[in-house]
Amino acid sequence: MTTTTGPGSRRRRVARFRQRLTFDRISFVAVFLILPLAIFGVFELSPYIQAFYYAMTNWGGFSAEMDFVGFDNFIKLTSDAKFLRAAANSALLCAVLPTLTLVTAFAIAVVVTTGGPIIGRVTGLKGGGFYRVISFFPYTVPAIVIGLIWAQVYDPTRGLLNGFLKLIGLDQFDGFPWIGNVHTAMPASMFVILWGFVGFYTILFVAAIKGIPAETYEAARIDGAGRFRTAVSIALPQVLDSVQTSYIYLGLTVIDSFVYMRVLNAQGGPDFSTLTITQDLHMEAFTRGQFGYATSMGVVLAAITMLYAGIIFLIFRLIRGKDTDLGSAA
Amino acid sequence: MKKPTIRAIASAGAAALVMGALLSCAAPSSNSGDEPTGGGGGEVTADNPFGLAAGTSIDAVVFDGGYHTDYVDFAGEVLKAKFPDVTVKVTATSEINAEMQPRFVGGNPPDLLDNQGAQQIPLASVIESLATWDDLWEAENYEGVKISDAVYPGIRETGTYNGRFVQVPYVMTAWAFYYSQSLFDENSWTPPKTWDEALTLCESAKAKDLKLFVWGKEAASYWKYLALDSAVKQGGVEIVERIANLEPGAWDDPTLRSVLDKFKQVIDNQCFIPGGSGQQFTQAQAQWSNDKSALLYYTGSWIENEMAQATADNFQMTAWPPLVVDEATAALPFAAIDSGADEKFVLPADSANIAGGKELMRAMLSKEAASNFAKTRLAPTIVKDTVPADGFGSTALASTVKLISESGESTFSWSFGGYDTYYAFGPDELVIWNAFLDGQKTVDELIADEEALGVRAASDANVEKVKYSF
Amino acid sequence: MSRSKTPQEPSAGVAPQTGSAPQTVEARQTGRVHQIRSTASDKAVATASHTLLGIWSVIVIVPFLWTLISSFKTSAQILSSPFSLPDKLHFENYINAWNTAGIGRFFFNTILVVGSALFLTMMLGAMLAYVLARFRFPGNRLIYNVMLAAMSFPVFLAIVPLFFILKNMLLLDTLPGLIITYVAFSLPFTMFFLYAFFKQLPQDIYEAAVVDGAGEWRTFFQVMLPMSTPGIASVSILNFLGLWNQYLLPLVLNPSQENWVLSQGMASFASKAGYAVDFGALFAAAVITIIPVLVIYVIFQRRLQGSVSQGTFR
Repeated sequence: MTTTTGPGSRRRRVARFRQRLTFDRISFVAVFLILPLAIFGVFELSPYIQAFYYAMTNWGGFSAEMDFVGFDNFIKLTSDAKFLRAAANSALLCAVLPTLTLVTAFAIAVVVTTGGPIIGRVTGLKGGGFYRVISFFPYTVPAIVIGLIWAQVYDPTRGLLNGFLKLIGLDQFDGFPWIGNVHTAMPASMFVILWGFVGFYTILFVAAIKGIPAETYEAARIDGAGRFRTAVSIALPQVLDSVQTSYIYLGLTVIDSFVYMRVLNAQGGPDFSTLTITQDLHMEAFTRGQFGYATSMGVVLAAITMLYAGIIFLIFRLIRGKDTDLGSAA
Repeated sequence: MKKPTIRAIASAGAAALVMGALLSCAAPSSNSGDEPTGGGGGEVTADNPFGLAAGTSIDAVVFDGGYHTDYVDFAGEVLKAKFPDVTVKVTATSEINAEMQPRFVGGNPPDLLDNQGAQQIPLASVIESLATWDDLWEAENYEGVKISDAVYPGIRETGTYNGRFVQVPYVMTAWAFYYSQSLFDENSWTPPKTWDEALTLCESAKAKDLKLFVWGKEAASYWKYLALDSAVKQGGVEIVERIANLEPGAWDDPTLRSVLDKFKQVIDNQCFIPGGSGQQFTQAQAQWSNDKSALLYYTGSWIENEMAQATADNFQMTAWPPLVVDEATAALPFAAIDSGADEKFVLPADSANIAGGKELMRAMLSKEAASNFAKTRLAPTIVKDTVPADGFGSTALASTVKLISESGESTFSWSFGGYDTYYAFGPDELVIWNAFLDGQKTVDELIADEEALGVRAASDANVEKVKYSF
Repeated sequence: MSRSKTPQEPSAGVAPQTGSAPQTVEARQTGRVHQIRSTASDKAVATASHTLLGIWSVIVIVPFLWTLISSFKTSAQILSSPFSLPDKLHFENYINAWNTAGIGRFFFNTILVVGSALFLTMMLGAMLAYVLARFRFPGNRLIYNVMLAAMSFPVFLAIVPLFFILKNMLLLDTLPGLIITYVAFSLPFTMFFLYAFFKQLPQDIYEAAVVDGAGEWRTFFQVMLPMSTPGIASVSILNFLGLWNQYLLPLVLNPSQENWVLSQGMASFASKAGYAVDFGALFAAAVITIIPVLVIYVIFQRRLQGSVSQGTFR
């Protein structure tokens, strides 16, 4: 990422150019604001607001009848073992998966951009672009198809994975149900999501690293910094903002995970080990017709999302505080 | 109140499959007539009993499973011979629930819906949005016979919940073990009668590098049916009646427990092909029908048609009754099996052309359409006399028929129009049974988990309870 | 880096490159002329890197290849061994997939929905971002923050009320209804991305246009919008991939089969193919779905990398 142009200076200049209220300007602002905001307000904002009300009703969805039940749904959630399991799974997903995905993507990006010889100019690994292109492939495939393919790959007897393991002599995996075993279902499902997303974050990090001034790298090398140190102490701080936004974005995706989990294990996996809140919500709403209750799950989901975002901001604030020296080295 | 004549249903199953064996017991006919005739807009005549209007179209959504869906297209053609300017659109799907719930909630459900399969809509959540079939039963079929007389007895009872006749089950079905007669002959094996015999056979199979059973994750509940069918044969139908009525402690029954203990032994002795909890069910079934790596599969009589694409040559698919713990003390004779009518068609009350939905079902119940189904799907419908004496040359059909006739009066049919689909236990039970079959659950845990489902349903004030009596 | 701004604000990234920016790694790489003498450690690192990246590439590629090969096998062959090669190319799988799954129809719907939604999103998103970035008026900051908050809410929370909003507006189960929903849910992201872009367009150009007598409308459409093409291209690509992928919204809001988009069709077909024991057609359908976007990506991959470098990611 390059050094940013501070937004402050721009703002001052905009302010200096006086904004007179002409018809042209008013009509322009009005039209440009009202059209998009109307769509946003009706189809995104108002459903969110309504959701908070429905969450406090016992609405079944099929009829117009509903009673206001206050926080009853939320109290019921605290003793709903299946929901608690789903919430724990969602928490596990966002604790583990973004880090794994981003570390993998960052490692690939670093090697691809700066993996060349250490002496002299900073160069990428020869042929690194090839890997970058390949690793993006899965991102072009709809999640549903990714899930379908991997469900076949994981098939215990006809799947690619066990076929391969048998080929290299690991016969004990013959018939092993990767997404049907309570211990492996979650890791195996996580891997599918990681597989789908690594490529996207790789190109993102490649872009960010390429934006780092070459002098910064070369100075570090002259100081005798090794590869690992340059990656950690130069590249990482420079892409920190990208990493943070990636964490947030990926976190949102992962807390959802609906498509992947539904395709891999429609009922929530062995002993509900891959059931997510989103699946539970969908079942309650559209299978069991408990719309009020389902919406209260949605509110909890939103709360978990907020909590997650808050934790990420906090962690990054702490990291930034510690790394100020390195960060300002640029 | 429900199903007052279990005998009638049992006999219905037998009668359906024992070709031509007409039973004289009369179908109890009760005409509640509380439903308005779905306004079709056309004139109501004997030939057009529901007033299907000219120029309308009929929207049918049909479960695309073992029987596929073109039999409804066929019935559509039969209908169009009578109503040339009516169009019939048949949509095939197996994701009934995900696709139909939004349409029900949105007020544009199809005119006729085949609610079947692993993804069916739980009846409890939709029953209030369904119209009844009462006037269909009073109407005459395309051959001029009153429909309630043209079908086997007991069908109306199977489809009636709390007094409302909301489901027409179209196909006669039996639950049984299916196996390859040729494979058994080669090895001089005989199918087991008791769980202990099954354990012995399991060891002989292992010696040949084969397994006794196989399961797939979406069909793990087939093995629940084996457990409960076995318990019914051992201890009587009251065991499942208590379960269906959500009585506390119903699963903790000594007979049922004795079955589950044996079942657990089969699992622990590694008699199942491992990995079923991670395998799509048709792939798992192919291990039995195509690879012959498992000896026996407990399933419904649709299996022959379902696996037609993946069945080994000269397989000689053959049916066999479910196991008992001890033949000497069993409540029912060993020949007893679980059989009745399935493939449940419902009539959404808010549909655009409810008369069309009824008329299409009337066409499906015509001799022509029902005979076509029997011939092409190798399974009889609820319409009497559609299977010829030679059974179309199918070993599976012939042996199923033989099983049914031997079962005779001891036939039971608790699993049809079942409590588990009514209360939407399906998804949760799949999780429980996959874990059990995978060896991850003890019998106590299984019982506790099943109990918990019952308790949850019983305490859910939003769900109307059904009183079952088998 | 500026500390004051909201951390999630997208300007935390890359400004349009100005001439004064220091030479970057990328600039150096493209101008590489010297062949540096490799040391032993360089070779070791290169070997290790190639090995690890190679393994990852295999993990990525092999499932694709396996899908492709399996799509030419009969179901019986697929069921017999994961590695066997097709005895001949069974194109009938593709015919089955195309005919029974109705993929052609779903493709058409998807292109129609995603195309329209993308156009509207970019149009409206650019308008909104421009006004928010360059005009001061009461509520400006509030709008910005509300959209920021909405972006971090799960779509799942909105899905049930949304269903009834569309139903009441008679938009449920219609393609326009789906399109407008897509637009609403992609607007915040688009606005944030372009906000940073418009913020950084030079004020002089705007002033010059106004001095020349161009009104706000003309200034926007003839000057400012063309200048933000790189940003618009980047967001379009990201939005396209996001919308192409959508499953939940159409699953709930678009239930009629003739209106289905590709992801719905694939989910349904997968389930049906399971019952029908037609795994060859399942793999063929997957291939049909994958190929078009993959080909477009391979053709435009340089531009994609370029626009990601140029633009920024929230």
